[in-house]
Amino acid sequence: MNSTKKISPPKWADRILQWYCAEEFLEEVQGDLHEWFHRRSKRQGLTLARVLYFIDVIRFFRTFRLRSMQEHKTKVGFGGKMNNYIKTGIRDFRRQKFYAAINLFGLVAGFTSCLFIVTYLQDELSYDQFHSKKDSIYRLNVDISTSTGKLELAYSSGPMAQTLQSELPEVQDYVRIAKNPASVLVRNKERQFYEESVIYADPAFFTLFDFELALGNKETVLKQVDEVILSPQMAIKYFGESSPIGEEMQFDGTTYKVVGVVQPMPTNSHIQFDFLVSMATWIALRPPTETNWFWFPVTTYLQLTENSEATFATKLPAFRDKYMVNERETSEYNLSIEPFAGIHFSEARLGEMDVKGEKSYLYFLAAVAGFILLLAVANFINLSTAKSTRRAKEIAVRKTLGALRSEIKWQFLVESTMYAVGALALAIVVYIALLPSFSDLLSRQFDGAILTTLPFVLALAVTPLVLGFLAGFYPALVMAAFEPIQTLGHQTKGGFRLRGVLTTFQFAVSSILIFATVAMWMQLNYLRNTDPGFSKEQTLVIDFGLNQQPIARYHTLRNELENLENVGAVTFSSHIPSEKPHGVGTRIYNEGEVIDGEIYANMVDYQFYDSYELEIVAGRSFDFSLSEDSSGLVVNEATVKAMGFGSNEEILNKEFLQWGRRGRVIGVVKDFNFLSLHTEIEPLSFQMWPEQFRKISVKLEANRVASAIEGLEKTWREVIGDIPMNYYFLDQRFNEQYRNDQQLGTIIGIFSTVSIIIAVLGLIAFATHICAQRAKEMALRKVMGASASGISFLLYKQFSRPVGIAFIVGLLPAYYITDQWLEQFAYRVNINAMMLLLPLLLLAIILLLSVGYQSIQTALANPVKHLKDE
Amino acid sequence: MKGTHLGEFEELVLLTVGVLEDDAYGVTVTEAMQEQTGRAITISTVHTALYRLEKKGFVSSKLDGATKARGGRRKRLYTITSAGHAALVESRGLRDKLWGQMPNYQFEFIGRL
Repeated sequence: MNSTKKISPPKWADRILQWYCAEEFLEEVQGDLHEWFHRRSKRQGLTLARVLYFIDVIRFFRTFRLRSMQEHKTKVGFGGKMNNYIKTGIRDFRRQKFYAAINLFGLVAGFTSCLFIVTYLQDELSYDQFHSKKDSIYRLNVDISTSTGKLELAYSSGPMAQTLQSELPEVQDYVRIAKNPASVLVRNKERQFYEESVIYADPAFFTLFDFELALGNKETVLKQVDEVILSPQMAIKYFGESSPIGEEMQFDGTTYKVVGVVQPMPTNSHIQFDFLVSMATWIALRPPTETNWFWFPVTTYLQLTENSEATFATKLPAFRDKYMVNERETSEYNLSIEPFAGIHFSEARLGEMDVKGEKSYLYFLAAVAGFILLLAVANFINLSTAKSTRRAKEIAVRKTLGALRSEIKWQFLVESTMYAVGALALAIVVYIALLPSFSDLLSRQFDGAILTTLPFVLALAVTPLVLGFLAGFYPALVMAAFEPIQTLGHQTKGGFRLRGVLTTFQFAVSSILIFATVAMWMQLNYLRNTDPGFSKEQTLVIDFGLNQQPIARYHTLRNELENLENVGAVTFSSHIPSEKPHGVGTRIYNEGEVIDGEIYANMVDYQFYDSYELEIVAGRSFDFSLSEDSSGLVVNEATVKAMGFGSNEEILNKEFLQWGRRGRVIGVVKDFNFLSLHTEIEPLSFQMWPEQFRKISVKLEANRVASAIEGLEKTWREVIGDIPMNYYFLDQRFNEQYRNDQQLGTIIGIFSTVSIIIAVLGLIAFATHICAQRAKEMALRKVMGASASGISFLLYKQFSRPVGIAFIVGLLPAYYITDQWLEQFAYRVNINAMMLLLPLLLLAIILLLSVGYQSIQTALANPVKHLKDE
Repeated sequence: MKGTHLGEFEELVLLTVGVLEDDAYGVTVTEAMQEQTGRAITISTVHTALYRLEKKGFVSSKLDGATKARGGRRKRLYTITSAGHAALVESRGLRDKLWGQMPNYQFEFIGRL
């Protein structure tokens, strides 16, 4: 007995078969399958036979054998009704292609937009979240309070990490990361390029963070001096297909050994690099890193023991007092820690490794996604109720034949859910097709992997059901309430008020988005066109990084370059405007009083002010013939104010101490925006210090750029030789500062266009319906002597009211949102009449175009056409 | 009904039904075909082919012959109809005719190559 019981096909597989297979086929199919199973189990063993049985059950799944199709031919049950609802739905779709297409389009556009926004949100919110130790890692931050204000650094000083670890038990491990301050000339034999993304890190880099090595040993790398790890892109760029491990390459002339290649790094990580060099190398180049507590070149990440961050934080002031208080320092230092996982969205500090995320943008985008979905739903409700009059007869017949109210409701809920499911399927196709362009737009890598994550799949499954119900509920209610006796006889009106409300809602949302888009567009335009106070046109920047030859041959190079045809002023400097210079502790002696401040320091030559057309408002600029100028300091007006001097003249000839150099203040330069317009103009100083030069700014004659560059390259080769000339245009770099703002502008622009399209389509369909419904009335009016223009005006009035109200309703939230966004700019446009008029004008045009055709047609129609069929 | 054309697979199934005489149903037909052709044939394809053949009128069927291995379920037993027989003959005739028209040297040619 026991054996026969065991040799049987799996029950659950049988149940599947019984569930789908129609009664009339079940006996023979199941019989054959069982017999087949017994033969198989003898030959191939029980386990395999059971697996194969299930596969056979699936194979037998053919449409003609399906239960519902066959059995409900004769039997009406739940499934039968469902069948009928679906069939009527499809028929209605076919008959009313225009309405249906608009309905579907709205939903597809809504779903697609949402998918994209969710992808973006997910990417932003998962920033840095892939590290398994993310919750125990903290970044050490330093605040410096000086007379020029408080400086909040993401940097810390070199000795801190190790001292903290040896003194405080909470610190388990640490990694210091330093970013190379200039571009580096990287070279492998004949392949040489300037590289921007070179960082240095302690050996614990790979144990603290979850970055993986594709090649090389995590345990041993980064311990020695002159070791480098490459990103996969760089490995290919410099070594092609062959393995770079153990190979040597030159960084600004020094030979480093390649010890590893990392796995491709996620783009949603704030730590990014092309080259990762051992910290030991950095320290060998800059020994004070290990000893100077008041120099802040590194970013320190600490791994703390579980739940110890609060105790650790309380110990920091004592630690600071022990090591960072001495008489010479008038600045006050403060140490604090910040959770690693939250770095992407926290307030930006000086020296952030990556552009910060903006939570308010995310909320705004999430709201946009929600609104677009609501717009699509509103459209759906509008169109469904609008066409309900046409379905009235069908419902009346159903009711006369005994359909219950609840059954009619279900019919329309099923229909709207069908639309939602179909729209979602289409939206996924569109999403997959457009994903690469979306990635390009935001310079991220979206792979659509989100589509396969469980919560997302669940959301995808639930959304069309919820939306289907949401959208279908009101139409269903309206339709179910139809009285057959009325509807069989006359036409019905109904749902007018709700439709008005929904149209108003749609246009309110649209006007918010139009308003926001216009404001963003104007602000971006403002940023691009506002004079930053320095001349940025036709400027080529040659960036030679830390190479010494151009500095050694400074005079020759300068003269040769300046003598070239089509070349204007030439100037050397450590930083160019729109690039953040170093922040340096600076001391000014004011008649016995000592004023300390952290101010930006740019090292320039005497031509800098002429070249960038900067105005000296007090004192003088550097003079090359005066030897004392190598110990002179030029400051901007902001420094004068921050240091507490009453006028520009007062600061002149005051003694200063900056970066170990002493001298006198010789001049004051007029304020200019050396940083982006997000921030106010900050204190800035200049020294003439050729050893620090890293860049050459060259003014070119307009229209002769190509030949000018050719000349520059030729001279560069003659004077400097082997090192390639690495250059870019200043305005490129300048616009880079606003890339994030531009991206947001583009996204909002796209999505507001989508929402406007949805609203317009809704309005067109709505107008078509109203005109059809009022056709008879208009015909009568015409017969009575109304003019065509009068009639179209009458129809216009009906549509312009909700749109007008919508505009007024949308104004307040639009104002609020836009003002919030503009807040972050130190220099911003003010919301003005133009910003109000443009959206209004746009709305009016939209209204005119979408309603115009229909109303004019109705007005011009021959009255007989509509009156004859009474 | 898409005509009464006989596909290659259907033709094999139909022939097998003829060969098996009184005992032709899903399992036996599948097994016989596996043995005869050496191909891996699934029972569901055979079933589908049998239904199609019945719709075309080439076989007829009746439910009968429950066994223990089948859990007491009856089998659908198929027998070939005269229409089915005619279709087989016609198909064979067509082949013979084409075979007759093919010149012999075609094979020799391939052989020498």
